[in-house]
Amino acid sequence: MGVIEVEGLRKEYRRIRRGRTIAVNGLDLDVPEGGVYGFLGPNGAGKTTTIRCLLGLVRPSAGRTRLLGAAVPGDLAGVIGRVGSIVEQPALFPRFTGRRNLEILGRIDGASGSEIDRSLERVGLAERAGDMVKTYSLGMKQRLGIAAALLKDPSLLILDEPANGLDPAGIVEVRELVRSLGAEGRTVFVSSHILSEVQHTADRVAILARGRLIKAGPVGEVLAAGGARGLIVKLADLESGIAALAQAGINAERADDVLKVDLAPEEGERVSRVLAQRGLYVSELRPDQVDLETVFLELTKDEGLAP
Amino acid sequence: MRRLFGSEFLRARSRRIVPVLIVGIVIGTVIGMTIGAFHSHKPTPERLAAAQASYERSRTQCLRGKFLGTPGPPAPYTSMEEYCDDTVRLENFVGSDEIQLSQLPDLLLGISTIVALVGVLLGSTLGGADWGAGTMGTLLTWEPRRIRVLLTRAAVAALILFGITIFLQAFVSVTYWAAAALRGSTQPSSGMWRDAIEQILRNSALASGFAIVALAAATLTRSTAAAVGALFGYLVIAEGFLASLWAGLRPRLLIHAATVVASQQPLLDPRATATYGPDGTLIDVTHNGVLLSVRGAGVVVGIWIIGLLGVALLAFRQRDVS
Repeated sequence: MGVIEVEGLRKEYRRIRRGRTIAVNGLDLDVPEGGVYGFLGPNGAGKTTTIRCLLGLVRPSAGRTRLLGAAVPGDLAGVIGRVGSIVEQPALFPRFTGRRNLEILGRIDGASGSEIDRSLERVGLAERAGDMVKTYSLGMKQRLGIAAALLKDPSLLILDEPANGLDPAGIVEVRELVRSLGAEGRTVFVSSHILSEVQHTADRVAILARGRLIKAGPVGEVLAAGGARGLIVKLADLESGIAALAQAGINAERADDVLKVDLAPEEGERVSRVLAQRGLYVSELRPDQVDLETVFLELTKDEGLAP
Repeated sequence: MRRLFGSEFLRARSRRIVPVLIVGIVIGTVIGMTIGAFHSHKPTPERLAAAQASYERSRTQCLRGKFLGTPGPPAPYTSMEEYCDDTVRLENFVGSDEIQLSQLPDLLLGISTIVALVGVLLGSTLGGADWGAGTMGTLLTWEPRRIRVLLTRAAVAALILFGITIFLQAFVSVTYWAAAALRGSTQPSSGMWRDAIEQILRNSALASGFAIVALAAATLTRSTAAAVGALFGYLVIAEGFLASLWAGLRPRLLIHAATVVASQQPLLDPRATATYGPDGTLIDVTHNGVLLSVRGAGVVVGIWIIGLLGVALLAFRQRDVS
């Protein structure tokens, strides 16, 4: 049984002027327990709507959702104490201090003052806890939102675009935090439209586009589905390298200061031998790894769904 | 439920508008009472004694039915004592240029509109703040039972408003007493303190009721400003318009019912019969009936509060939260 189970989820918005909009269209999802699960897709793919449905904030038009085995929204109250979440940007009272915001939420769950202190320390906000939230940077607000989510000591964390608007240092901080939370045995369900970002943190991913699931599984498996594989070779004389490989019947092309060789990664030894026989010695030889962005573009190119 | 109540109470207590409003009213009261005291002149003991004697003489005459020409009390009074308490007042014999403690119940009745406005203002902000800050979604990820959330919130708003308005009216009473002691008369009339306390409790109960109405409006409109605007538009403009168009509708309107509750004066049918004496002097004015009794007004106010809260609960339960 997964910690998040979604069957045929559909959410349709009807608006007088804009007519009917399908935000999520028959989504099936099964998130296993433990680790970091990336929920990917471009803006408008339906990620946030799915998360809102999971948390009972939005009523689905059709389909079923279960969180930690509890049906949403009927039985949600029984498990919500084990679910920490941030939906889009953390919504907090700007004129209250960071600590007061956590106290207000923490009281619902019976969190003590020391638990609030620990949460603030964990996200590096202990020193600014007495300041009003309106004086916080976006990154600090994100961290405060994560601190609020951690107050419940959750077994499932749902983070919607946690790196949104952060500077590079902030992104690294959040990435490390997400990794460490996943390593603690919690399930971290993290949505993002920055595919390369999730690639660094997630164990499994699901790719969503136009409200539909395109691909789901372990990161390596999803990357393999991208297809575009090869070898990257770095050597001093690239032109000679291309000629030598061509003589051996191997296609290669120059890409900046490296060669992209059209062979499977396991044939690296053959490439190295051919070049060495011509007196050309490689300084770097590695598989041409496909990133999630490439995979996503490939998976969606026929449907015009790319970001 | 207790934890949610604690959280909601802390949230409401932390809102800056609460102390700002309290301090503002306290300062306004002190300024008002100082100005009032400055213009007031303490009566001499001789004048007070004469006023007291005149008052007692008139009250005795009233109890004998001399003012009415009829043996029984006029509607809606049930006894002559009640009628005379209301009609013959000490302050009418003392003079008009001095602060008289005996007028405290009237002063409290006079500020009942302000007290109700405090209820509307704080109720709106307590109900609308989460929508403005976008924190309703955050709250519901901690307590997804929406009915419980809104009922707790309404209870907290009502309790806070009751406490705040009790404090503010007590402060007004104390400053009024101080002003009367320094520059006016502290001579109490019969049942004055009881009337004052009852008026304070009625005003505070109405403020709590209006806070719930405003909270319900803020939940429906999802905005503090929209709730205040909608309530102002309805209560002041729409109800005034409706009352002038259909007099028969008046007993069902919130403002009219709340006024009856605050003043404890039933809403009388405006069509009246006048009785004149042989010399042509007006002896009595008999109203054709009571359109809304005090008890009935309480029921009408209660229906408004429960009805609006019920609509807000239904909408809050059904609508998506973004």
